[in-house]
Amino acid sequence: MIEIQEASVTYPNGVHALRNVNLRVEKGEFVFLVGATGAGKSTLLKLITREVLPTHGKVIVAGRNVAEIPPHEVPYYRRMMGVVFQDFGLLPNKTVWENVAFALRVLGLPRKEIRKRTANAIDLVGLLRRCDSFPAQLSGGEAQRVAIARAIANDPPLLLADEPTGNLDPDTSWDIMQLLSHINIRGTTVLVASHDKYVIDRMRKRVVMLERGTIVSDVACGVYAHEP
Amino acid sequence: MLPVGCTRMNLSHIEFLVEEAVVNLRRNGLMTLAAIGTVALALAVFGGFGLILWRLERLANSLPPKFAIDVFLKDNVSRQRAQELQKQFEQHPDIAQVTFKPKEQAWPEFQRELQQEITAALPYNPLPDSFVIQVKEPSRTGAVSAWLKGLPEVDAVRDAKEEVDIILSVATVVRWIGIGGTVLLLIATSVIIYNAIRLTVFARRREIRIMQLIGATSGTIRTPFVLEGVVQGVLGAWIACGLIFGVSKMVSHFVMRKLVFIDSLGGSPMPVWVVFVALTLLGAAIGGTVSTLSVRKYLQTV
Repeated sequence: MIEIQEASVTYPNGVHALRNVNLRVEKGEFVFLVGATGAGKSTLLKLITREVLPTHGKVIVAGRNVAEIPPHEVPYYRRMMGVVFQDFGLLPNKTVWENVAFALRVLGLPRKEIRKRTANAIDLVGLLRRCDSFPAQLSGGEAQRVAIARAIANDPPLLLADEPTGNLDPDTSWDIMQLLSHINIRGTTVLVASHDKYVIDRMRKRVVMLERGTIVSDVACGVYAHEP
Repeated sequence: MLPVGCTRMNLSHIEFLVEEAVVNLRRNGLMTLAAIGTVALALAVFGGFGLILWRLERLANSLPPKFAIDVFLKDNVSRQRAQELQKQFEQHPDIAQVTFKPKEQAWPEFQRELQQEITAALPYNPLPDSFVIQVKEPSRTGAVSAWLKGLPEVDAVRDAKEEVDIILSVATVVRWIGIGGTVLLLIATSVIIYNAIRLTVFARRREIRIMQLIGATSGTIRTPFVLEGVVQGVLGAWIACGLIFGVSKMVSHFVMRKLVFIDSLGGSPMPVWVVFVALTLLGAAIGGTVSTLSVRKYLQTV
């Protein structure tokens, strides 16, 4: 599904965000990317969304070299992945229903299809009763659920989450992780950048640890490794 | 695996884009109002300036035709020859109108203007036959009268070349100031509107990033913004029209009372619908263009 080969990213301001990173994620996997702030987790996710291109090395997603996708095809490339942010990234002027439907409407799907998929996605995250609320009226956990519903509405094969529980309390974080795990079991490959030790240790999933732009450990069924 | 979803522009997609624009305009109410207000003020100043210039230009252009060329024929020219001359004058490319004034008609007019007693003492009519000639372009007055002077049948030519020249040079200055001022004001207006609309786009730059990550094409992201810009431009233009007509009504009412002669010189006022259509088109064009420019910055992908 994802293959990162010897990828390095140097930002224009001279910061080396990633150095010679090698990572392989199979279809249907659930992977945690862990590490301190600034370790390169977000940059790694941005390589996959093609918001950042590798300075050196290659990023191959679904058999395609990301650097070779021409700009006008990028929107279509991104439709194969759902993205969830720490700050939820909901459109403030749209209701819950509109936020989820929006992701489908920009794809130009037929009206009936949009209604069906939107209802399914909102139902999956358990928020059908909040359809008409605006993001500002939701709790953090609810807002993140809406963001997840939007990310999966199109049934993408890949789900990326950047610190999805960063703004949530431990119980809510656990619920959100359970939801992501549930989505993973349905067949979606899930990548979660996080430093939420409490959640990661309980999930027993593959854990890839980054430190100052390099991968320092990669353990299946891992726990958040101790700082060396 | 890619692409997911269809790409063709179907009716429901167009409907979606229009709906997006309408909903955004409504829910970003304050930003929309600020942008519309800015457009309205900028276009009102621009349109008002244009209207004043137009009046001045009309005023300047309405004066020269009052200065016709008088052509006096020699005494020995027959009426038949005079008629031939009239035909010749009428065919001249610079001449708009030719009026023959026979001496029998000129004499009583002359008598009326002067003292009856003086003219009554004369035993015969001393005036020659004459033509009154209107030129098409005031600037050609000199050339036409020079040509007339060269004709063997012509005794004397009287024109108001000097007066016409002064008025024409004033008109030229007014026109150039007008063109220069209009261009400058248009640039200033565009910059002000650009800033106002750029602010509304800036406030929503996160939305643009989210839409990009969802997989919206640049066209899908841009179109609602451009439609919003056009709507803001047009609504602003309409308010500007209201302002211009309101103010010009008040001003002309005031001027009419104080300076009655202005209107008799000023020619017909500019038709209302010309201002309306011109400002509406201008508002739409500026609104659409600056929205496109404002969004472009945030649409760049690596």
